Amino acid sequence: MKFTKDDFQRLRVCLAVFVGLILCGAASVYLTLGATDSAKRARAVARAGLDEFERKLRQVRNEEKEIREKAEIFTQIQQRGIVGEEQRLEWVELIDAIRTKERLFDIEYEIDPQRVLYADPDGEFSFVASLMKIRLPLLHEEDLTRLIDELRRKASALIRVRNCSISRSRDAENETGAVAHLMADCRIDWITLRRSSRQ
Amino acid sequence: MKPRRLLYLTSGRMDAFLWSAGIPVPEGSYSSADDGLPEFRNYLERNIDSVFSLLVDVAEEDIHVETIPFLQGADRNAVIARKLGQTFFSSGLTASQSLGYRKTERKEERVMLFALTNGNFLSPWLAVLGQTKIALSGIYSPLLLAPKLLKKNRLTDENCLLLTIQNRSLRQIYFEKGELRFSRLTVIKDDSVSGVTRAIAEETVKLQQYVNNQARQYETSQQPIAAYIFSRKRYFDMIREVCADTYAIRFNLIDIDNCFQRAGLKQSPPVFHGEWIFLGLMATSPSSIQFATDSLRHNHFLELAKTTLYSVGLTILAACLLVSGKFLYDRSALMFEAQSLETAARISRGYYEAIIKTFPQVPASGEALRRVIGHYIDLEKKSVSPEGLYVQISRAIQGAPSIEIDTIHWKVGLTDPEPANMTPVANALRVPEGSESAIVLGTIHLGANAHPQQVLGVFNRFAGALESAPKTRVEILKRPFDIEPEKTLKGNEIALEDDKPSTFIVQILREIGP
Repeated sequence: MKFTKDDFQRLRVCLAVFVGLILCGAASVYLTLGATDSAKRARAVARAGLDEFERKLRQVRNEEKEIREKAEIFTQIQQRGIVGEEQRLEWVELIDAIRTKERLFDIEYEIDPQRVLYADPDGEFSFVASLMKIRLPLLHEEDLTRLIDELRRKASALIRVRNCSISRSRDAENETGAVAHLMADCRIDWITLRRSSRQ
Repeated sequence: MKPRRLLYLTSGRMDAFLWSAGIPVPEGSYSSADDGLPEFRNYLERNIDSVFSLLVDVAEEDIHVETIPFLQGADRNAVIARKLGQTFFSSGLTASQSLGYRKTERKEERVMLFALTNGNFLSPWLAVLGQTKIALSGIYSPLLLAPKLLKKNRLTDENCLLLTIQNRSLRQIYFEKGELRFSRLTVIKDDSVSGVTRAIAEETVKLQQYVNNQARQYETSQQPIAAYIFSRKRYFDMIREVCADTYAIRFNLIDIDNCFQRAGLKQSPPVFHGEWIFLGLMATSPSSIQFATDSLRHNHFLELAKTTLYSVGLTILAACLLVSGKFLYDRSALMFEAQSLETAARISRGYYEAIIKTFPQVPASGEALRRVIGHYIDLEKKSVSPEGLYVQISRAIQGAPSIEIDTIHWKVGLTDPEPANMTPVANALRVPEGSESAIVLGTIHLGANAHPQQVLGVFNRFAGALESAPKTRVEILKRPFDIEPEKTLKGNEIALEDDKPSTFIVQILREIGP
């Protein structure tokens, strides 16, 4: 059988219905597939949320003691002044106070600009350090260790001594007339914990 | 679904039926003599949306078996058309059926040719069918439908004769080995039961004689004929009285009521005539061979195309809806699962926050607190005072008053770069992270009478005392004398003239920690 132009005219409505049916079917599949995909994504998000809180819950249960201890440490260092902005004036006053108390010779020092030592991945906190170059004559090497111990105990920063050199010297003299036998030259990091500015 | 209508044409009239609930329902009867044709035209026009099938039950029908060369496609069709023209001359309605191939010297095909030979009688009816543009699915005859009847009744005799009684006529269709041989329509003058029965007996004998003559003519063996009469059960005894079995003919009676069911009729028709069997077969299982030309069936093909398009479209839509339903079901299950997970997450979060609330209040999340304080503790552990190594050095020189320390370079090993700090001694070792180091520069004063061995002894004891501490390694960077095999030893260097002190450099490396 051969189709004529007239036949196609007669089949026009039928062809339109045929195409319409296929389009309706394709549209229904497309829409429901999209809805299924979005539901899959919603499930993935919900699963991720549940996994995250279950992990946190497991972790917090397992590490409850540790977290309590760390929270306690945080409170302590916060009270000591390690958390927050640097208190350079306090540091200077502390050095002067130790020098007077321990009857040390004059202390020369220089504090470099602050630098970031470690940034927390969440960006909530970062450790910053200021390098102090300190030079002081010593009557005995214990003068240096006492100074360092006092700083470590009282400074509103974590004191990290990077290096110290002690060598013989007979130049300096303090107010009591004592002559220094040694010269110390140290580099000390004053480390503080700073809250990130974007928090 | 378009309504189905059946037409039954005999030599006298055209009967029209509606195929409804498995039974032909009479709708009209149109005579070929008077004004039947216009009325028939009106009937067709009224039912233009139906699909029609025509059963032509006339005596003027012929079959012929031909052998044609093995051909395919258009060539085969042309050869068959030529054979039909040669065999049946001007007959308008012809058909053909392949009987298979014969392997002789060359491969040949056996073809059975059919024709309704009374063109003058058929043409007015066909003209009406063509003009009204109805959908005509095909034109059939009892002869074309007979193989179906044979199959439906499971008749497998080698020589088989089917006898059906129509209105005042007897149709005989003869098969040999399942293959049609001929068909004959005989008018019955006495349509009483006894008259019909006598006609059956007489016509069967005539046919048997004809078959025997044919067999003698072609020198083939004469086989007994199994004659099957389709009749109502209540006439069986009367038929058996008249139609007695002989060597040549064995009569078999088939209940026409059962046969109607096998032909596809859902209930018995109002009259128990054979044409109802053929109408049922035409409606339910039409033969693939039929007489109508493509031009007569054109509208039917269009209807088929429409039906196919609608069917395919609806099938695709149904499949898509099925798939969509599956997707919706999956979506529903996924959303339910997501909601369950969200609920579980809320519960976990609640537990988590309840535990967190019991912790001391700090302005940091649990994770950040762990990391920050962990790092702080690490920094604190590595923030050692040089006092430890100073004490270790002091203890080492307590037993060696001749040693004088000039300089101690202490440093701690760190990962972060040390700004502008040069190593005080060129060959000093790098201080690894987690360790502290002290480079000690000193001199040994043993006086002018001291022997080099004594100087080295003092130095070695000092170095040994340094190394005796746990987790400590002592690296000698410079001995009082260069006595190592790989270095040059000069005489003036080892001489202890003028109480010249012997200088040395050692590096102490110690791991930080308890």
